Amino acid sequence: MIVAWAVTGLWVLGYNSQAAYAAEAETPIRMLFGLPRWTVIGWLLPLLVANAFTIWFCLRFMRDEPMEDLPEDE
Amino acid sequence: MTDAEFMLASTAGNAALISFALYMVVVFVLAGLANREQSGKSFLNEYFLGSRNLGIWAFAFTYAATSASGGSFMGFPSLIYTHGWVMALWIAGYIIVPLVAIGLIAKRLNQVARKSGSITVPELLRKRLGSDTVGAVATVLLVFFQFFFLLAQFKAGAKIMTTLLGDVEVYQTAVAMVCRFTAPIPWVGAAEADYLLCLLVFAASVVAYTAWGGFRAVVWTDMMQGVIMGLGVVILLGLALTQVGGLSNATQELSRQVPPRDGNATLVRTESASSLVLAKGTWLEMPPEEKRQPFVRLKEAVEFSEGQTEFAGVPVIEVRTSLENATELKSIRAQVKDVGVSAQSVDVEGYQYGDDKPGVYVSAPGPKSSSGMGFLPIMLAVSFFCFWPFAGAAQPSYMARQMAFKDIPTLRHSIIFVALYFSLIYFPLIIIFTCGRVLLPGWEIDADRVMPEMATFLTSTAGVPWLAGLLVAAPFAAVMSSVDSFLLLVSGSVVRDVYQRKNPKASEAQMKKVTYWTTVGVGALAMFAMLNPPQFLQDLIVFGSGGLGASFLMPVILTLYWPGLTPRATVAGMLSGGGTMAVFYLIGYLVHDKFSAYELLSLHPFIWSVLVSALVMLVASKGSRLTDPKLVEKYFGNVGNEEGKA
Repeated sequence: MIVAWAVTGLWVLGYNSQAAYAAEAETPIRMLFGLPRWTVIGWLLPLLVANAFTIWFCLRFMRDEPMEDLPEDE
Repeated sequence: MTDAEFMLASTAGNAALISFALYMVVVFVLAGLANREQSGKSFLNEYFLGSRNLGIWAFAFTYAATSASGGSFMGFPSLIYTHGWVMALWIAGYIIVPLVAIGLIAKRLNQVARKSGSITVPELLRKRLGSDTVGAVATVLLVFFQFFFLLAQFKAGAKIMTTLLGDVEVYQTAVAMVCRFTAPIPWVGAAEADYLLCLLVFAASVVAYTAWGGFRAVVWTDMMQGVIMGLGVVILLGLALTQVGGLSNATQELSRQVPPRDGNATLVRTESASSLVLAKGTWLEMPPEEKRQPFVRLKEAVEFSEGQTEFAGVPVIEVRTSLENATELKSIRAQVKDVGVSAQSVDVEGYQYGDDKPGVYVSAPGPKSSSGMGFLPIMLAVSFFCFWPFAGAAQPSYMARQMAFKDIPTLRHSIIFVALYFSLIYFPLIIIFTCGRVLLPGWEIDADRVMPEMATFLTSTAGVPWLAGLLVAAPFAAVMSSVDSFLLLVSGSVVRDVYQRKNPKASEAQMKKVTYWTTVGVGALAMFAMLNPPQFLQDLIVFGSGGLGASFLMPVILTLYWPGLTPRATVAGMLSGGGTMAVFYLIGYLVHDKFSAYELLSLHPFIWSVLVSALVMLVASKGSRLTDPKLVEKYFGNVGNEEGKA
C-alpha cells in the first residue's frame, strides 16, 4: 500500500512539477479530450491505474482472516 | 425582476421546499426505524457502533458519505471556482486514499477493537495500553479538533438552506420575524437573519435525528445521502457541460480568464426622486478596454435614500472579461440591468499572484490574492499528497466505521466501492465548477455559495427549476451525513470515556439520558459558535482534520502494530502532534491576521506535526514505563512480549 502511494506520488508530483507549472505560459492551452493536457496525463491516468491496482489488491492480494469474537459483556 | 422571472424563482423555491421537506421526512422515518432496532440490544454498543455488523453497502456508503462532507460539496467547489484546475493537483492524494486510509489500519483496528470491546478510539487506546491518562488525553484532543470540523459543517448546512429557500414566501416572513427578535441581542444580532434561521433549523433537525436513532440511523441515512450525492453530481455534470458548450469551450474560455480585482467604488445615479436598493451581486457595466470588457459587481447591498445621488466606498469586485469569451460575456450581460447607476472612482487591487495573467486558471500554482507564490507551490502540493491519505487514515470518525464492519470480505469490497465512488465524485466536481467560472462569473463575492447557486442557475436555465431541490439536496446530504457522524463521535467520547468512567455503575436508562443530552449540548454549542463564521469553510475543515490526523496518526498506528509502545510515549505523541498543528495555525493567524496555516518551507503544518509526533514518541518510549506484559500478550501474543522487552 505504501509502495503504491509512493509510486502514484512520484508519477503525479514528478510529472506535474514540470507540466502543470509550465502550462501557464502555453498560448493556446494544450488540451487532451477537452481538458488541460497535464490533468489527463498527470491526474486522470494515474487515477485509473490506482483504481485498477486497488481492485487487484483487494480481490487477489488481501487475505481473509477470521474476526475476533466479541467480549462476553457485549 | 420581471413577472416571468419572479414566477420561475417562486416555482424553483417552492419545488426546493417540497424536495427538502420530503428528504427530511425520509430521514426521520429512518431514525425512527433505527430507534426501534435498539430494543433488546446493549444500548451503547448498538447506539455507537450498530452492534458491529455493518455489511458491504452500509460500510462503504457510510464511509464514503462521512468522508464527502460539506467540504467536498461546498468548500471544495468554492476553491475550484476561486483557483481553477490547480485543484486537481491539490486533491491528487485522493487517487490512493481508499487503499491507504482504509487498508493501512482497518483490519487490525477492527480486530483490536473487538478483542478489547472498545466502542470509541480513546477507549481503544486506553484499553490497549492500560492507561487512563492515554484515554483522557485522546478524548480531549478528539473533542477539540472534531469540534472545528463540526463547526464548518454547520456553516455549510445553513448556507445551503439560505440558497435553497431564498425565494419561498413563508421563509421570507420567518426571516423578517427572526430579524426583529434578534437584532437587539449582542453577538446573535450581528448574524444575518436568513443565515441564523437556517442554522437553527439545520442544527435542530440533525441533532434530533442523530440523538433519536444513533449510529444505525446515521448509517442508514448515509446510504440514502450517498445515493443522492452521486445522482446530484451526475446530473450537475450533464447540465454544466451542455450549457457551457462542451468541455473544450469551457477550458478555452477559462484559459483566457484573469482573476477579479477587489476594492471600492463610488456609485452615482442620474435620477434621485425616489429611494433605490441595489442588491448584493448587482452587476454594472464599465467602459470597454482594448481586449477586455470590465464589469463591477457589488459585494454588499446598497440603499440610496430619496434625493441621494452618490454613494462612496461601496465594496466591489471588478471582473475583466475577455472579448473572446462569448459564453461568459453572455452570462454577465444577462444579469446587467439598467438601473440608472454607474460605478465611478473604481479603486481596486489585483491578486498578488495571477493578476492580468491569462492561463492562470488552467495551470499551477493557480491564482491567489494574498500571496505572490500562488495558491499551490510545488512543496505544498507534495504536502497535500501526503495529507489526504494519511490524515484520512487517522480520522476518528472513519476509525469508528472501521471498528464496525463485520468481516474481511465486507472490508475488501468496500475499499473498491469507495475508490470508484470517490473517482466519480471528485473528478466531475472539478469539471463542473471550472465550467461554473464561465457560466456564473463573479461569485468571488461569496464563493462558499457557488454550489447551490450553480444548481439553481443550471436547472432554471434548463427549464427544470424543480430539479434544483434534488441537486441542492446533494450537498445538504453530504453535510448532514458528516454532522451526524461527528456528533455521535463527540458524544460517544464524552459518554463512554468520561461519564461512564466516573459512573461505572450507571444504569442503561441513565446512560441513554446522558447520551441524548450530550448530543443536544454539543449541537447547541456548535450552532452558537457558528453564528458569525469565518469566510472559507475549507480553512476550518483542513485545521480540524489536520489536527486529528496529527494527534492520532502515529499514536494509533504504533498502538496497533508496535508491542514496545509505552503509555507515556503515546501521550507525548498525541500532545506534540496536535500541539504543533495548533502552534502553526497560531503563527499563521499572527502573520496573516486571519485564520490560516503558517507553511514553513511551503510545507503544510500536518507534515511537520506528524514528524514532530513521531520523533517525540521515539524519544519518549526510551526509558519510560513499559505497557503491562499481560496486555502486550493479549494483543500481540508471546512474540509481542519478546519484542516489547527488546
